[in-house]
Amino acid sequence: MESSHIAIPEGKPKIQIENLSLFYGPKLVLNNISLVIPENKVTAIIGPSGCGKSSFIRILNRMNDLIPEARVEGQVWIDGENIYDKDVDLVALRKKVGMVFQKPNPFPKSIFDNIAYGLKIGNHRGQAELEQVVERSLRQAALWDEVKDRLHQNALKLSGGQQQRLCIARALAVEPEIILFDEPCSAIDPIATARVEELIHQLKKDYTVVIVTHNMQQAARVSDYTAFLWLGELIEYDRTEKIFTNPANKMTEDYITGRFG
Amino acid sequence: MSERVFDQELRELKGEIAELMAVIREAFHLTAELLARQDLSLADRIGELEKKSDSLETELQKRAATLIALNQPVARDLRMLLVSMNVAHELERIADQCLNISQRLEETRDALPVDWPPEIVEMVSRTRDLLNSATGAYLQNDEELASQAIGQDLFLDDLKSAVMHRYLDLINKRAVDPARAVLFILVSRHLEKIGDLAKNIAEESYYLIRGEFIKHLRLPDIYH
Amino acid sequence: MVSVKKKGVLGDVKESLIKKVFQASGLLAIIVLLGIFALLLYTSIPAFREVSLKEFLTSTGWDPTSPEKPEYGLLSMLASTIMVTLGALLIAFPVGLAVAAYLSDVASPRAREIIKPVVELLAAIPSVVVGFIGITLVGPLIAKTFKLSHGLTALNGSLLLAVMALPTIISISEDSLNAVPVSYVEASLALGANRWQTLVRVKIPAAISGIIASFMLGMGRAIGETMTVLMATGNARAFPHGFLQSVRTLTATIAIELGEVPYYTTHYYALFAIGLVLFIMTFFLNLTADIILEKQKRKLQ
Repeated sequence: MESSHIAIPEGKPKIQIENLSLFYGPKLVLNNISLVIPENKVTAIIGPSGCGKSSFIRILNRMNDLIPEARVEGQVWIDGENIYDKDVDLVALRKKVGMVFQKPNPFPKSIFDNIAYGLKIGNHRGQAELEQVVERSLRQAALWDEVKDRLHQNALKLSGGQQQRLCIARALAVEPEIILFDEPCSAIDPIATARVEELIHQLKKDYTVVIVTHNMQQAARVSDYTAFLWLGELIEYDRTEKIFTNPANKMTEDYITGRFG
Repeated sequence: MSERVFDQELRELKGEIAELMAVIREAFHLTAELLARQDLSLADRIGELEKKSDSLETELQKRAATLIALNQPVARDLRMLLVSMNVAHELERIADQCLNISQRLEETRDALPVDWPPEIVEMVSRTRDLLNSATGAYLQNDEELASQAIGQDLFLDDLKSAVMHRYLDLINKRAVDPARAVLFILVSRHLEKIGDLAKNIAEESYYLIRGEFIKHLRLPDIYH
Repeated sequence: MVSVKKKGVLGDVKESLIKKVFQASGLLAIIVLLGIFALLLYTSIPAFREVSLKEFLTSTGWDPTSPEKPEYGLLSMLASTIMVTLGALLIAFPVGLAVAAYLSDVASPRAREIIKPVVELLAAIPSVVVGFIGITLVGPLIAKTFKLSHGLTALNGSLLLAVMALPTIISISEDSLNAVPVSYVEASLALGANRWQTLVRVKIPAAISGIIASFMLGMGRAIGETMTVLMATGNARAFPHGFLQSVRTLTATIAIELGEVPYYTTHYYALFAIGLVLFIMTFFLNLTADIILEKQKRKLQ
């Protein structure tokens, strides 16, 4: 294998990953990965199925903790704090690092209650403030105009694309600093996909975005930086325009031009 | 890695470029002959080749646009298509310049035959070399040839300037037949233009191979 | 080239035959159900030649063997049945839900492996044995605690029925909790909720229809239970006024009296009418539970 090519992004680093390895039982899922994710940028993780990209993104909000046999080595620094230290408050971490999943997963509750969920489980707030946050989050997710007259309808009645934007609004409501997207468009149609991508573009003004996608065009369209993972190894990490016009590594080139994967 | 259908299509596109290049080299060869022998009967043939290059280029642009639309290429595939489109365009313009030269000669047929100034003779041979390097760079993915071609272009500029200054001077001094002097100046300009276009092809080829732009680099940068 | 046309008719015949056999067995269940209903109805109706439906359903006195004035009032026993049943569920439901939540969310795989079969074993204990425990263990305990002469009370019945309803409530509630998509749990945790909040605010609401259904099925089990209540509740015919009194349920009444009743008397038919009432109650409980469960299944898909 050719040597990997890992660029150091410009701008303020938000997440610094150092010598990260992830094991599921004896199986090595991610092998000694180091990279820096810059603030207020969109960073895309691409790679063939099973390359560890979903596992990678779940490192960043410690969702892998749900898997009993998962074991992490190395450090992940967010704003200078190692999130794998013993004294890390998982609740605080997950509020700071929001996540949007592959399939839209609104709770079987009303639209309003979905968005308010994150606030209600935290410090209890007044109804007026809840309403304010719900509106703000729905506007940010470009869903407000479509649902403002039916906030108390069951969220499962929305279309798939609307549900996904609702999930984005739900994540935004707790005011995270980082938003993780785990293949957010794999279960919705192309029009809805375009809207979600547009939204991701808007979000990077205020948030640091990390997106896993198997759709390379999507990575090219939405991201500023792209990381190519292959069999748990970080092969190349660079500015997206560099990756998609002139990748340094032959394997990256073969993958993005569709020669394998 | 496995061969894609797209690879086959790209190869066919490259084949068409190669065909266009052959047409251009033939047109340039005839133009050089025309200059050397001043046999105006060659002009018709040059005109035909120009028309042929025109239609070949149109075909190529259409095909490349279709391939881009249908395959959404990235990385080297994308560069290959963009570069091929630009190269096709430059080649077609070289054919135009050949046609221009033959037209200049026809326009001045009364002043013929002429003794070409040595600079123009040298320009013809240098332009041929440059054209060969540039097309070779594209066809063989040869970075070395591309750099060479880019360097050769600078000599053409100097030669053209030399011709222009000398004959403008002679015209001012009324020491030369103005029709011939204008012919020399125009031909040198056309040749220089061909060299310029060939250099562009070399630059495009360099981008295709390396993924980096080489434009606007000075000679020392290239050789160091 | 492979032809896609049918070859011969034998396959068709076989297929339609298989289909008919399955149809027939499905129909059989319905026929049996309707048959039981018809039989109960048929044997109940003669009771109402002497007793008015109003008296049957609203009068509290039950004394069919009285020589001067036989009474056929169902209300005391109906109230007793409902009281013992609701009492049982009041105990069984919170405990059952807690165990279900523990099994689905907290327990290690090892603990689950041990507890689940134990819970299922609970359902296999014969009701006579449970009644026996009521007489010898739970009853005296109640008597001692509340300073009563004996412990054969509604409370005793409720406690024992609670134990008997637990397996149903636990296993159906746990199934419902497990059917809640992982994606809900992940979404909740990713929003910064802890496990307890996730359970209470996401999992239980999402599984609520299944949990309600488990409650209703548990209730059906408790209402229909005979032997345990017969043995454990003291069988006093009076209208119940509290959990520390002896009561007599509908099922116990049938069990006690049917053995001694002369055939084809009004008393005999009245007992069948009680059976009919029980049948209708449990039938609607089960039907409602089924509908709720079906709805939940569709909702979670």
